[in-house]
Amino acid sequence: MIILQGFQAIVWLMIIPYLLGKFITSKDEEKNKMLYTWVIGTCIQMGIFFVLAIPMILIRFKFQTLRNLYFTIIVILCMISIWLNRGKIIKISKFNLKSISIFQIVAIILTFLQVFIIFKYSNINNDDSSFVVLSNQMIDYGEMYYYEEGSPLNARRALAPISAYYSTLSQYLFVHVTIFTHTVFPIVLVILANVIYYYLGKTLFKEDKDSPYIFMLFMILANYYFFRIKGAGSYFFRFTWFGRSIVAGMLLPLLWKISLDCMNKEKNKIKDWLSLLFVVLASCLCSEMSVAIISIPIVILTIINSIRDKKLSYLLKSVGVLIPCLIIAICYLIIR
Amino acid sequence: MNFFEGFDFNMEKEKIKALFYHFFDNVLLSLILFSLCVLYIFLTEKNKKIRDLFGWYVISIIIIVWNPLVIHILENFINFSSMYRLYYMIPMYPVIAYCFTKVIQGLSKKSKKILCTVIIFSVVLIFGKSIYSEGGLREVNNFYKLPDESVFVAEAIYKDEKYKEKRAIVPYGMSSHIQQIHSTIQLAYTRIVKSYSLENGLPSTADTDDPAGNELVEKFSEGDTKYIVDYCNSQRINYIVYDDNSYLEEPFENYGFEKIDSAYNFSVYRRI
Repeated sequence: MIILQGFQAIVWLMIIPYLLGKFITSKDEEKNKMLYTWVIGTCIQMGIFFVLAIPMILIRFKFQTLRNLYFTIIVILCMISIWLNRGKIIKISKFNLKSISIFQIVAIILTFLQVFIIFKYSNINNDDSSFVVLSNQMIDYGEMYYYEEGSPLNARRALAPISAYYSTLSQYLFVHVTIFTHTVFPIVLVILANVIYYYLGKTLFKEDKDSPYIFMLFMILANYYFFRIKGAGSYFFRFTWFGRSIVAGMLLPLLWKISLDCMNKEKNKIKDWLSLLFVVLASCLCSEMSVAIISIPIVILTIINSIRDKKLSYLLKSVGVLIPCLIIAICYLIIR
Repeated sequence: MNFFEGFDFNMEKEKIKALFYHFFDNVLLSLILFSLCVLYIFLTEKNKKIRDLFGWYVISIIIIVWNPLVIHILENFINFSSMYRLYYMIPMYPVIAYCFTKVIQGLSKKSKKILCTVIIFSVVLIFGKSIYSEGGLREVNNFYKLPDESVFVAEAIYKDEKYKEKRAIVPYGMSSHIQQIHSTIQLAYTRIVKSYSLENGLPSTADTDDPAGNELVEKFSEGDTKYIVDYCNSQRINYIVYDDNSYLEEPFENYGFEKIDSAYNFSVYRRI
């Protein structure tokens, strides 16, 4: 059983996101972007779930219907991705042992140390009990976000259906949803966060080989051992599975990285804007606070960059990217 | 819907102050360091895109977060208690990490780069504060990552075959864990309880995670056996979980319950 669970975890948390990410990064000339493809693919995986889940929750579909439909869509998309990218699924440049730097080694060791802490120790916080219980109840009773028959919808939870997402993935992995939420998924999220810090560093220090790793090391240090403990990253590493901590520690840094790519005179590629859209969708899945803490940065960055580059197209594309936040805000005002 | 309804400038100003102190509580050092880094970026950064992201964007976010009208509007979407998280929009750590890296990047030799990185790491490790320093991190023997005693209790009730409908009353500290393991176990109360207090001399009730004032939780923790059993009878509760180290007026066995399991200093009683 453990072998099957491990296999399913690799498929659903690594291979499938990678295949989905290929839809956006397949045309990239840059090699060794496998990890970035994985990051973007995870956002796509979450984003598709969000788009599917919201109407199904509002129409009061059963959880099992959502789970089965999502499974079908993801499998079809993966098959399309494999077909479109046949022969070029994996692009790795030649591995050169001499090219590895000390900073790279330390960064990898620190990442494994983080994973070990998450695997070995527990950071119990009762704040999350209600949304993990909700996940559990969906599996046991099949109802999504309606506590009892005839009761009103729990809008705050339902419009950021991370509980439903955890339930769905735990079912595919044949793992208890609490184990998935507290043990399995945080391991993946921590690695993803470090990969995001690395790529943010890589975007900031383009030509330098060591600097992205040094940047990543300082990010890890700041998150774990800095002068305050209420920071976004610290919150993420303590309570990795909380939806709002995923937004704060992972998706916001990814947003900053992508904003440097897409709001850029030289690049300004549609694939980067699509990546940004999926970051927004993934954020909306994770937390109702995304309506504010994702849309405000995008609006501000758009205005600043539009003025700098004298490009009105940034504004138009940003409006498109922010449509999910707008819809959720309207739904929230209507339902609550 | 009128977003501006009830807008009071002075009240919003107080809220902004409260949010600021909540987020930057006792962390003046990091605030100073962050401010210096932003200044450094403004003065030295030649790449406009980076200056915009770590300079002008940061200032714009601060203007937004310190804007009373924005705070008033956002209260329609976000609980005030969660609103300090608006500060997450500020890339504090990326700005600091960027400046440190920039300084190291400027060094010529690799050995100097390594030495400088080690020095900065050492300074932060000596004067910084671990995110686990406030406690909370513990080792458990289960992958639920919940206290072992809670897992034991949930399994004991779930596996018991006498009652198909599982209804239980457990110590308050355990109430938020049981349903994470088996959601079919119905509890007399969960983490969010009704709290009774007096407001302007009138009794008031509210949902809260502070059990103080909740009669059932208080009577349970006081070990008032008769009250607990009477409540269980009225609510058809068939399992009681009690801390063996806590005071209990009379054993539950005197009131038609039997002990079915015991571990980690907790006993599980079942209605006979």
